[in-house]
Amino acid sequence: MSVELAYRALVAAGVEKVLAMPDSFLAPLCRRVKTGPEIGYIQTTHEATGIGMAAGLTLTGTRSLMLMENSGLRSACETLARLNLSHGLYTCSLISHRGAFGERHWWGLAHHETMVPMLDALRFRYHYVRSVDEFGPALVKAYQTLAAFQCSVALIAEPGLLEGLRQ
Amino acid sequence: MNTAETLTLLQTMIPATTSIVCSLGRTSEAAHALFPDQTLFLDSMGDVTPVACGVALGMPKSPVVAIDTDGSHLLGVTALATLGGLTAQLGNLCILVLDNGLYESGGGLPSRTCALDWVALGQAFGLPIREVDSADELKSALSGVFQRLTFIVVKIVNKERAPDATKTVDGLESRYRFCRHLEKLSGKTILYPATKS
Repeated sequence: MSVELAYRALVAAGVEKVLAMPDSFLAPLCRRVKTGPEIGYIQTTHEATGIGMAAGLTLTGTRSLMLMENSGLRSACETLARLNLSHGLYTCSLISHRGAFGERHWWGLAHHETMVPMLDALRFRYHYVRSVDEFGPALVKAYQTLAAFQCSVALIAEPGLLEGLRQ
Repeated sequence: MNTAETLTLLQTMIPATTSIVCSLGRTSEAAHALFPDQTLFLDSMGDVTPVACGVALGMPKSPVVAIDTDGSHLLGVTALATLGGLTAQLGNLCILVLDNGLYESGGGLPSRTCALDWVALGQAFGLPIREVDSADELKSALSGVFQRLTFIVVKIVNKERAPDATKTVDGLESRYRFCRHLEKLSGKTILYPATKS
């Protein structure tokens, strides 16, 4: 199962805590992490809460990953701006690309339109991950970039990866 | 109690190396006078408690205090639903909300326009919030601190207007100082040396 491969990639990358504001795309991975046992799973009711907690975990040297839809960038924008730009408190996120080319739902398109401008404005380094096979190597590089302590890092889960998580 | 009295009493009730995440304004100035090098000074309303929670989860054997304020805490009130599910993991965390009922740094308007029952708010999420109104009550509420999640709302009355800011530490310097404090506590490397490879 591809979701199992993605989970194993998280474990291999040394992720200790996953924080999540679940969305339909990433829900299969959330469920897998929740059943554990290797990674702690913390579900939030707002993306800003997860980002704040992830920033605190990063400060202690604990490897954490925030899972959210790209609309979460808008929802947590104030927190991300304060932490990323004013405090140098950084996080690593896996962000589902709602509104990607082929999006069927009218409400999803704006998620795409705002995603990259917000990532740039909030000084993220980001990388598109197109398949489950790419996920593990991308995670390794994401945490290398995070360890430089100069920016937050986002892996954007493209449709190929998201379809893989459903298998 | 006023802000300075509250934090001075807190200082006597916690280990000297306690890690602190602190809110802004007068509270930040008072905390800087007492805990300058072990505190993450956050100019980020709504984020104090979540960041402190992350620190506490990452260093479960070390005591952590969130010094939050009412306006900040109410902005981030959705965190309570997450905290409610983590009480068993947060025995090393003390959340102290200094409640003066005002957006003091934001012009002195009230922080809410309705009655607020903090204890009932906590109960709604399974959180053991205690409201205190005196030094004796605060001492009692802090008596079991760091043995279980401690969550105290302190009624604050500051008769003097807030002093002008004197703290020159910005967000980045505070981050660096706090990282060094955590590195010393944990023995872990958090900020890595730059290498060429």
